[in-house]
Amino acid sequence: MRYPTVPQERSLEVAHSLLEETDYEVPSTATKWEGSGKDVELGPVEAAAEAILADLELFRTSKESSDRDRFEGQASGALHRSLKDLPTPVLDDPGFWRFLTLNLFWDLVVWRQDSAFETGDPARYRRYVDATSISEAVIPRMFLRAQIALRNDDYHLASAVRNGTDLWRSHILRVGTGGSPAVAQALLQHQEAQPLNTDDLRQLARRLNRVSTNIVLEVYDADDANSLISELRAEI
Amino acid sequence: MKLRSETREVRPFESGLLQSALSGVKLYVGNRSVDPDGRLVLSTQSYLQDPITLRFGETRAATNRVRLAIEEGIAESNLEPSQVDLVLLLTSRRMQLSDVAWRRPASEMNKLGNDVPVERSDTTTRALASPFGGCTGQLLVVLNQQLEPEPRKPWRKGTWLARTIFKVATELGEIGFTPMKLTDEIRDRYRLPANTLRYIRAENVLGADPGADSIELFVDEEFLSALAQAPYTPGARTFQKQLFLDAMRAVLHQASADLRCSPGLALEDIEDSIVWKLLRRSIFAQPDEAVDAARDQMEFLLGRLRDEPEYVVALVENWIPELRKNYYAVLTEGA
Repeated sequence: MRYPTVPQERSLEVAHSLLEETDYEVPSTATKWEGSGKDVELGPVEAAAEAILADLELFRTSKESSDRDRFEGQASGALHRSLKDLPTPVLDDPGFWRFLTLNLFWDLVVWRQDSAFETGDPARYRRYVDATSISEAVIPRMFLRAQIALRNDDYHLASAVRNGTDLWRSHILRVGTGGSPAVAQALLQHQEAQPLNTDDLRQLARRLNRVSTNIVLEVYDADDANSLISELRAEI
Repeated sequence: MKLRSETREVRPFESGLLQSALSGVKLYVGNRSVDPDGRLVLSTQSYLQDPITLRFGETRAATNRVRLAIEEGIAESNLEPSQVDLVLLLTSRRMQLSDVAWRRPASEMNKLGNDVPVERSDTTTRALASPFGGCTGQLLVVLNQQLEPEPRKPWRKGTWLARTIFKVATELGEIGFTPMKLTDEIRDRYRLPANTLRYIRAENVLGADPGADSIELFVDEEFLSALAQAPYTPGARTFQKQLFLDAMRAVLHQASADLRCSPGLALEDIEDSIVWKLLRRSIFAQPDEAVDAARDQMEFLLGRLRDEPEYVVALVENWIPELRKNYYAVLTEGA
């Protein structure tokens, strides 16, 4: 399958122009096609981008607008649904995520990490664009978030926890808890039902990390995971 | 002196017999094998398409020895074969995918052939469809049910009693860095003054993502050209090694800052990151040395790194080959 990418060395240059020039359009020369055979179908993700950006306009004027993580979680379902049937090697390619970031989701990415972009310093905003780490860059991390939260065709858990930036970033994506969706989902469910404060949540995450050195969490089903998280929360 | 206390999970359940039983098992991708705790780099095509096989033994007798050792190891752990499974777990940490690719109850070990084919599928071998991030395979002996807690006996479902790790990667996922030209345009982009001769950017140094661009090393373009024209003079050799050390210093300081921001991060969390590799190298772990054998030393170093990154920089300097000789040559003979 052929799919579009933006090479890493072009991505910062394009990002810089997008930030500096109001009417700048990403040139087609910035795109490099990888793979062979039939072109990937981009229609669904283009439609998802349009819908997500329209929702963003409404969210920005809503009462909840300060909880940007919540919008990230809510939008992640639509993003995931539009991409989940693509071959894994395409989704694994950071160049593909750079293409999506720069061509379809730029306004969302800049809004989500505005403090980094407002500095104009590539050192600050690079990680959200170049997808070197797909658990840091905004668009791929949204995809992963929905992938982890998806249960019975429902993405509710992706946005179930209010102000969930720290939970998702530090306690799920960075530490690889997402490899065991049942455990990540139990963590989210409990946090939704009975929120722990930041310190207690960190303690819980530490305990979970310790347990996971001895336990293969990937063999846990929803009941096992629920029991484990209940037990660990009771120890705090 | 700063005193610190830290809670550590101990592993009271490991069985030497079980661990040694797994040490002879190999994972094959196509006709290339990866030994326990080893690493295999494949072409992308092979990584994505070649058949996957677990080889328990080269001969029937060897496979029987593995089977017997597993049975004895289970008995040694005061467990029944029906309470234990053999599991092959394939993980792409980058894509947050972990699949049980193959699973057999230990009670069915007598049906085990020398070679066990592991069928590729969209649901059970997704990590081997992620060529950029690479795949970590783990063959585990796992307790398959929850038991009543007893001292010195595994009881929690999912507890692993023995484990061996196979790393499979592609050339797309190899971490490396190539010095890039520090041009006026790059200086402008990063707001660097005109006489800056090198600039290093290190990011995601604790992540297991492929990180081909985790480290960006920019070197003044004139210097870089001169280096390319005469790379083997004592001066050029020394300069290259110094650049490497500078880059590693940037990596380690970034790691130290990240560790202080995320105090819960443990050694397991940074596995396969560039920092993990640096720590492993700094304790002179051999490629075929079991991960667990080096764990204590690496954990100690991780603690030092958090508080005193220059200590680990000093250890890295210690293993750069012939650095002393190169410096000496430059100081006494000129470049």
